[in-house]
Amino acid sequence: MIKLYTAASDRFDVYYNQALEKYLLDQVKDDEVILYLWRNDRTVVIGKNQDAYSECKTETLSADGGFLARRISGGGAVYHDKGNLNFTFICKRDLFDISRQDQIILNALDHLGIHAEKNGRNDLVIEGRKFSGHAYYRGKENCFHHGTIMLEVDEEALERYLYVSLAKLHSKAVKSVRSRVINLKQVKEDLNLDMLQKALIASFEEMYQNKAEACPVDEAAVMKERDFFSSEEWIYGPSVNLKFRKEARFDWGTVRILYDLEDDRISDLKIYTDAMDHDLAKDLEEKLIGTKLSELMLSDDETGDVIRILKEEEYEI
Amino acid sequence: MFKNPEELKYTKTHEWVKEEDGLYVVGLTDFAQDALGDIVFVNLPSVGDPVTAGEAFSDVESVKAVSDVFSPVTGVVAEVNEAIVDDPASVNSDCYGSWLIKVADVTGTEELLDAKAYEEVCANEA
Repeated sequence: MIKLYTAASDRFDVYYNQALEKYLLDQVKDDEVILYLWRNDRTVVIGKNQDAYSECKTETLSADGGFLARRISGGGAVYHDKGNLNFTFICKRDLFDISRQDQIILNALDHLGIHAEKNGRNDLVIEGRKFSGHAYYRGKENCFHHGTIMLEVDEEALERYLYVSLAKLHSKAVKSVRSRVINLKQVKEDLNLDMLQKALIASFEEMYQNKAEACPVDEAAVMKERDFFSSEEWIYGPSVNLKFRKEARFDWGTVRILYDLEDDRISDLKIYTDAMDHDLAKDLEEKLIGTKLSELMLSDDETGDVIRILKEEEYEI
Repeated sequence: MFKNPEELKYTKTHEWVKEEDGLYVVGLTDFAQDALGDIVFVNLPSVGDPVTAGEAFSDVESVKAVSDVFSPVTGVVAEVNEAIVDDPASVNSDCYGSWLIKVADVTGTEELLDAKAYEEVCANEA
């Protein structure tokens, strides 16, 4: 018989919640499945291989008291607040079964009188509108399947904190795909968090034909993992070390520049832009790195605009 | 049916390896690329990084899952295939041409399988 555990976080701190998820991933044993439920307050979570600055309006987010996090699974950027319930199924490879795990959620909703289905992108949708996006992590033995369930998420925040397409430079990084979304409350007005959580746990127990117990947690070990998830190096990647940041909007597109100076010489530089010219950022990076700021000449084109940003203080962010 | 060239050695975790000019060339097998689906991102180590047999040295992101890739050998990364960073889909289209890393100073290996034994591993997992 498969042993079932549930885990729940009573904190809205994304880094703690990610740390607990990772702790459970490392702890899970053969013949066990863990269902972990958690919520974050005002947080943008980007995929493992995404570029933070091209996905998230980081200044706006932090000015509003929000948090940016990077997860170890793939996929695109998502916005979480307390109106969103996150779930994670954790087990070893041989028990890992995405369709069965999806079915647990679909059955839970069914019990609540909500008819939902899977779409081609592994999202769950109601009449074509997404309320639950999923991503997966597969280690050597231990795996997880996690995702969002939108109960009453502030939909406007999505646009406030996420860029639609400021990602042209890092063409190598994974892009987000925007979908039409729907909150479960729009479908069932009297639905609340407690009902949803109970339905999920009941459906989980029904699927594996066993009773779930609360999973013991070593708080000290979780706090250690939290240091990793909250580190700037993990969240922003190596470009976090670039000291200067500037941004400007031109008729040909928005540009954000991160760079470092050694005396007057540009020692490193990253350009993010939604300009139509896909090679522009890359070409400019190659051209500008290693040059002296004072020796750069202004010209009457995109290159000139970028040089102007570098030279003038008013573009600082 | 998956293609498993005779001249390569394989791991149970679906990496292939071959010795070439004193270096061990490592890549993902046909079974692995098929199971992963469309690969959208490959994280590679840096030249000079140590790798350990049986431990993750890279991860690949396919349509949505991030999966670890394990080293068949213990040694030091001598070369990385930058071409697949720019074109991760090439691992799907040509998994035996699209190697990930070449390893030097090899001091040990995982249990390596020949094509026939590896075929059985695939058959059991399929």
